[in-house]
Amino acid sequence: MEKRPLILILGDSLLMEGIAVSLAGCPQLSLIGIDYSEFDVWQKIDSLNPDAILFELEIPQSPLIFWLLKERPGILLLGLDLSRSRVIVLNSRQHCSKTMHDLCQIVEAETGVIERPSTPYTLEGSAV
Amino acid sequence: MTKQRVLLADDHQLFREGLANILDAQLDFEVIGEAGDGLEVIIKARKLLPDMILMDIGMPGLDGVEATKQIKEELPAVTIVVLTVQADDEKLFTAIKNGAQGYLLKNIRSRELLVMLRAAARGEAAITPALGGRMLEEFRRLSQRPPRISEEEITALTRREQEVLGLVAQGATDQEIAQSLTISIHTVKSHMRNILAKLQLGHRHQAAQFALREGLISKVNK
Repeated sequence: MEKRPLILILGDSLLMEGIAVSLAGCPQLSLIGIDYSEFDVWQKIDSLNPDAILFELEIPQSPLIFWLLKERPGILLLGLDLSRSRVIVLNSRQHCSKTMHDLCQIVEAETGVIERPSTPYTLEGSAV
Repeated sequence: MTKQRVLLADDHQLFREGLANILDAQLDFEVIGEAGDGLEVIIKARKLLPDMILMDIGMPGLDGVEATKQIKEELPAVTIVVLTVQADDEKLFTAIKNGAQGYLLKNIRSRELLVMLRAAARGEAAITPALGGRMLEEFRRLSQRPPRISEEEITALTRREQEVLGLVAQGATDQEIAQSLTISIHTVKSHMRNILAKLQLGHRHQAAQFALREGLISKVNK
């Protein structure tokens, strides 16, 4: 049986609750709601290991988001910008950058100057 | 169970749809329509005759405060609850004056929202405690504001009393008033007592404030 993507709805505002209720009708997804103000929210996210996190961009929670970008690059981060009716997908693609040459390569690759390296970076610092 | 037939007015469709799903999941609410701006909600209110309207303030074209006023004039029985991100006092007070039964902020949790909406449906006010506190403060401020002096009360002052009051408002002491009008200080005090009694004020500072507010200085200087 195919595993359903686990989506974590971060925040318990009326908007996020409405989204949670609406997405609950989507059988292809598994949903979990969590309030970002909970004191152990970081550990909870870590233990749940969701496939994606949906959050409101306007809620100030940048330390948590930056931590996820840096430490959990496998989790898709979907920032909801209600005022502009859009979702911003935060890209946590990572590269190894030990030397200035590495950095130049990365900048050139990410800006499209040269072909992007095909080997992703792992947390251990080695290409796979 | 009789369901509250609800019309949603908000320019963010995603928010509307989520809210509609929350309400439709309840046994006592039913969303019968949605509107994306102030004009649309007026048209749909006329057509659908909802029991309740959840009204956003910041919508394109006609805003929720004005839409509330127009709908309440045409359909006084409809319950309108403002649901907005805007917490500013002017919008709050104007919306309530225009007939809104409640004023809630969008950061409210769904459980609390449902409690408030059920209260509004019973004819109670649907206002979060913080906003209720601001309304009480405004009520206190308005009730403490001294009444305006009528033309009759001003003209009830004699010519001399008006002159004395004008000088008081300019900051003159009794001694200075006595010298200015070439009368005794006892007479000045007597005039002052009569002024306070006629205007129903407590002390000369209030009299000075009223004289300035009512433009008595310019009147007596004419």
